[in-house]
Amino acid sequence: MSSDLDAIKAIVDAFERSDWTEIDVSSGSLRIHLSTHPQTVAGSAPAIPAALSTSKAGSDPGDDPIVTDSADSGPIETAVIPAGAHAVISPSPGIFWRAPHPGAPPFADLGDDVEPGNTLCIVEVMKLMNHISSSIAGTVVGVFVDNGMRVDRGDTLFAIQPSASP
Amino acid sequence: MTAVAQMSTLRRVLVANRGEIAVRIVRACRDEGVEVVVAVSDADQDSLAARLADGIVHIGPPNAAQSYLRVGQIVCAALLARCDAVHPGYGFLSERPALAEACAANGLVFVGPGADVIRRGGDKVAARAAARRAGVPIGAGSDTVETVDAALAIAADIGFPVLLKAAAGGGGRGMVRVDDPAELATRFAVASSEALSAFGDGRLYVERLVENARHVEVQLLADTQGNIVHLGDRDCSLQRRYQKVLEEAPATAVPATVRHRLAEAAVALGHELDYVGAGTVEFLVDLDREEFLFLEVNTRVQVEHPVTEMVTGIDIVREQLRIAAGSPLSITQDDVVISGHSIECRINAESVGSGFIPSPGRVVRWSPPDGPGIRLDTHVFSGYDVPPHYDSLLAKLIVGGTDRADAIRNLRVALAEFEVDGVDTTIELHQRIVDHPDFQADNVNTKWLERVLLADPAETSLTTRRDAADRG
Repeated sequence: MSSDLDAIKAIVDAFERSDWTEIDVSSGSLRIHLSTHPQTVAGSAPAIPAALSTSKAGSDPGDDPIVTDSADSGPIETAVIPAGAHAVISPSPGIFWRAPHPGAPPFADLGDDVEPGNTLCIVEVMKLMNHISSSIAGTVVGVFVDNGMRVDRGDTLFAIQPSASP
Repeated sequence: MTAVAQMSTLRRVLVANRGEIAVRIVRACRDEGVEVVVAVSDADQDSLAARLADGIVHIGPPNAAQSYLRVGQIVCAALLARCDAVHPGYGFLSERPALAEACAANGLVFVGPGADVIRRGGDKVAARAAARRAGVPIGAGSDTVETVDAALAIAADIGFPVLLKAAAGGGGRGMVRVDDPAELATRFAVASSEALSAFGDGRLYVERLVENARHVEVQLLADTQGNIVHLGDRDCSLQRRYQKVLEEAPATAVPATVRHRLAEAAVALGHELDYVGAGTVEFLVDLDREEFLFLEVNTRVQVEHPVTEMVTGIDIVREQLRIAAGSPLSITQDDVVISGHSIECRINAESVGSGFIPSPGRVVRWSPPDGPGIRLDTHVFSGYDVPPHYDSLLAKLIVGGTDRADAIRNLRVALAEFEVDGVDTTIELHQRIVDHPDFQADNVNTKWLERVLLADPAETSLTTRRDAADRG
């Protein structure tokens, strides 16, 4: 439809004049995805707009590597607590964040030593940022939720192996 | 009402928001005969606003930072849906000059003031300067303070306690109470770095803390022809952690002479800012000194706008759409008549007994009150799954009466009839408020809710328990 083409042209023009790095909007059967990320370009073409793709509705945006959030997208581990380890559970439903902001290193990673009071993660619920801290000294031996995933009250988030008593 | 000579209209509006305000804007567009498309994240594809609209555009994942807070996504959603205007609602991008600018650059009408006005009104230091120029009283305090020593000198001058405030803050965010010089010295650097991380701007200023105050605000409507009218005032003194809980119109606790001066001050500030659109000027009324102080300008529609609509009969969101289309206001100041009293209760998904921890999840039963004088602004229905990604506002219950006592009587009945199962709500908190003699006597201040109503020992111990939960 020519009006769709007009809309696409308007979006590409807007993108070229902007400092936006990525656009991904869809309506009905039309999806427009523009990105300055070089990896989205078939071949080696540089520049802006780097890619323009349209696809049928129903394609899962989660399938798109650009849309998928960060590197932590592997399958969720089953929350098996190693013998002697301490489980850290979510106090409320919410969104699990491993780092204070996107791009920052995680508060606590597998193998890290933690002290009582060290923040392990944030559970965000309705704009309230709950910092979840370790109550013991020990080593992180299990991380059971992926960054940005929904959690429920009582979900096991981490396993902490207590330090040997001095 | 005066006849509108030349009626321009918008053709199709993109709603760049969610929740109850998205529903409110969809309905106003319908009433204006304007088509309406809603921008939705993956969490809102089946929202009430999406169901009511003429169309939807998907703008990304549930996380607002990747959807509702991205200027490019909103502008391109509007272009994709071939809209000619964007209504930002409140929150999200509504007070970001970048959205207003990007709309203008792409031939879209932004339903709100221009980027310059948002900038001057939104920056607290710039807004204080504008208020001073307009002859509006501002709190004793400073412009931007660069150093601890400068802050200490100002605080010594105006007297402790003071508020250390972020220039880019607002809406109750970015404020620290400081009681003495030693505390100021230790808090200054922390407050500045917190302001930098929260607002991208570390500038601070100092203001006298008013201990015994009411929060009163004036609603403005301004068109592109330079006409500004006020729609009277609202009292929003019932707050928890600087967030409004219950609002009413008019502000009957404040003497009529003071209310008249507040309205005049708000209009003067509107002219000083070359204001366009719906806006609110917030004041603190100092009950001990019997004076009022300018707080901030909100350059958007306010959550509590319905109480004003109920007592004036003026549809603020429809006026926003007309103003955005370039039409003159459909009313003059003489047309604005305040009639009766209206009270709004914000019904939030929160567990009051567990330190107000939010309570998302599936609403298995939603049975709100109905009847004359009752209005409910909501996006919730039986079976709706309240997502954890956004704020906890489920509904605004707005109840009117011939006077304040009548409105309170009607509100008590309405609250008693409001039944919700599946998520915890603040309905019971509102019942406790309206049953309290202090509230009924209109004898509260901005600290009353926290210090009086919520100050009983049970509440305190539950707060402690919640802090323990926060520590994991």
